[in-house]
Amino acid sequence: MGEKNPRWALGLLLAVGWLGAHRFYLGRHASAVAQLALSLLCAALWLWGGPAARYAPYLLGPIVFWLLRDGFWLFDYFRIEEDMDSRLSAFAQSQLDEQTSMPAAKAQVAAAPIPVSVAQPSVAAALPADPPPKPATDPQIDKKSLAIQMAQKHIGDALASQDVQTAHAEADTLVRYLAQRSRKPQSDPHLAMAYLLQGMTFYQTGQLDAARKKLQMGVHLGAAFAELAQPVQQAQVLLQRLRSPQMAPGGAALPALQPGQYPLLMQSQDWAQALTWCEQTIAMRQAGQDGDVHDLAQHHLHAMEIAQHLGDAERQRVHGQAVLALSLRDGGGVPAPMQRSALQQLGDLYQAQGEHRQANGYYAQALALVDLRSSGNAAAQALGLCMLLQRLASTHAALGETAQALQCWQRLALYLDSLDRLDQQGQRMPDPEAVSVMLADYAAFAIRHQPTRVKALVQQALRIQQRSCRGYSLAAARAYEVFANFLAAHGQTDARRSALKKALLLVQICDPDNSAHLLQLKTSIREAA
Amino acid sequence: MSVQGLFYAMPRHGLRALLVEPSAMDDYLQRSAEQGGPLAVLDQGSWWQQDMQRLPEIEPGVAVEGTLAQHCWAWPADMVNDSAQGLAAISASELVQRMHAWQKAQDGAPADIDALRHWVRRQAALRSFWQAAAQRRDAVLLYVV
Repeated sequence: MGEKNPRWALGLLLAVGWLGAHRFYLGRHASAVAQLALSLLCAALWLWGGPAARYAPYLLGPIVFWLLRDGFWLFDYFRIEEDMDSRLSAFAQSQLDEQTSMPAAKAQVAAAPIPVSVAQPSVAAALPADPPPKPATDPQIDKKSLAIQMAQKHIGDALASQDVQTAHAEADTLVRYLAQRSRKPQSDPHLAMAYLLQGMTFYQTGQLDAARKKLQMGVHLGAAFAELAQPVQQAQVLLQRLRSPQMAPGGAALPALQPGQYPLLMQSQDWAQALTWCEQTIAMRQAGQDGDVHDLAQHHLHAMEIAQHLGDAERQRVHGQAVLALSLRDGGGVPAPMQRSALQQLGDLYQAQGEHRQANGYYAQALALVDLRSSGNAAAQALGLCMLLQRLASTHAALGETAQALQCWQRLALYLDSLDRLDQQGQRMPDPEAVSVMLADYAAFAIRHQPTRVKALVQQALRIQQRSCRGYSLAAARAYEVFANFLAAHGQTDARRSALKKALLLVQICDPDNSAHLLQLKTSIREAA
Repeated sequence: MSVQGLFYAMPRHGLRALLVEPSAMDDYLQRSAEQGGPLAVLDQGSWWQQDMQRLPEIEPGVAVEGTLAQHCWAWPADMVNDSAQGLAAISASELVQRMHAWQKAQDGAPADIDALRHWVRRQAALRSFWQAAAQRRDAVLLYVV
């Protein structure tokens, strides 16, 4: 099928559309013959005269309706063509620019597998670079191949940046473009490839029903083409997996993802495999020496998160130290928020292991990196700072350094006061529940060291919860529990029982499955009685 | 216009959202279970107040303000469980005694047999509703309109 002129098509539709001329012109021979036959039948009945002529007007309606519909169809047809043409020329130009501007770099990239695995989905990487094996002299086939290459690249980029909508839109555009260009879908390997690509895109983004349909269509159309054997086989493995998801032990049936796409495994909470691939990605990045410290630090932070889910403290520590080493080695290469996150997680790790001194050191370093004047949401940054101060205070308290702990709590309370004031003025507090929990924790500390402040802190925590969720929260329950402990220390049994009952009711509402907590509160109430 | 008391059983995790945003309660109760609405309903008619007075085993629920109802109370799942256990422990003779005592306190006359039968039937329905809710670990609402 050669390039079609929209003016010719429209002219034919208006002039002799009733004969199906525009459809013949666009290569839709079967429907064109049907249109022609319908019109001829109508004309024949009319000319024949007699009783048969009465039926002719009944055929006019469908013919006119079909022609009107064809008008919209032509509009869509050429819109898709023009849109794809402009995108293809831009893509071809960018490819040429890349080749001419950095031939040496290109050779290096081709040698190292890392960027390919991260930037493109496995489906894109698995498909042949130049899918149709037919001679490349036909400009139409070149165009289809180029469209597939472009879609592969764009889908790969979109998936790497977790932009699912764009990936779906790219795959859909490709299928629509190739479907309207294929006169016989059964004899077009490009269309089969487009369906396979769309199916694999759906698979990678978790839309399994849609993936199954598209993959089945791709396998059905592509099975006849030897050059599509590899992607078809890959699609069949995926289809088998979709039929019985639980039969995917280990790495045997995971051909759809590459190590660089481990964040998708994190989303599906396949932590063990995610850690393996994350570490492979880190190793490849380190071997590649491409100097992207920010990216490498991000992978280390992901590895820390995954190791935390797996309860692997040693791995978490190793990756945390790696982020710190990167920040020291490349001075400024690792952004401060990333360093702070690593330090905070390391502090949490040591704190959980009872090594308060080391935890304290990491928290203090993290605190030094907080810059409230930097760009971004000041309230969120203040909250982050408060969380660090809270951790620092608890390590000081655990080390018996009461004065330093009190200093941290007092500093934290100042920031929380300012957040509370903003909230009262109608500006949204970033995380009211976290703020109230911090105030309740301060109150718990203050029972021994600053008893005059306890009531005010508890009231402030409850006030914030009242404003944010009518007081129905676990933070409010925590505040009541702390207040009950305070009352117990002062021998006010009835008031303590009342506070505990309020805490119990809130836990019953907000955390109905936490039977241990419920039992503990009920026991306390019975004891108080 | 008579006042109607309706008990609704609902998923325990959905209660907090309704308490935080009680204006959503009326829409929620209009939905069927398939549409994400309440899982079961028991209409106690205008007798709900007498029944609640005679059954102190049902602990006082959380009063919910801000709905279209005249009154609304909620019981979280744990409280429903405790109340269902209390209701299950009431014997038939205890029930009859309570009815007589209540009637005597009202007008001094003994309760007639029809009123007694009616009370026992309602109490049985209420008890099975609370026990079914407790088995599913549901929260319960009493909606008075």
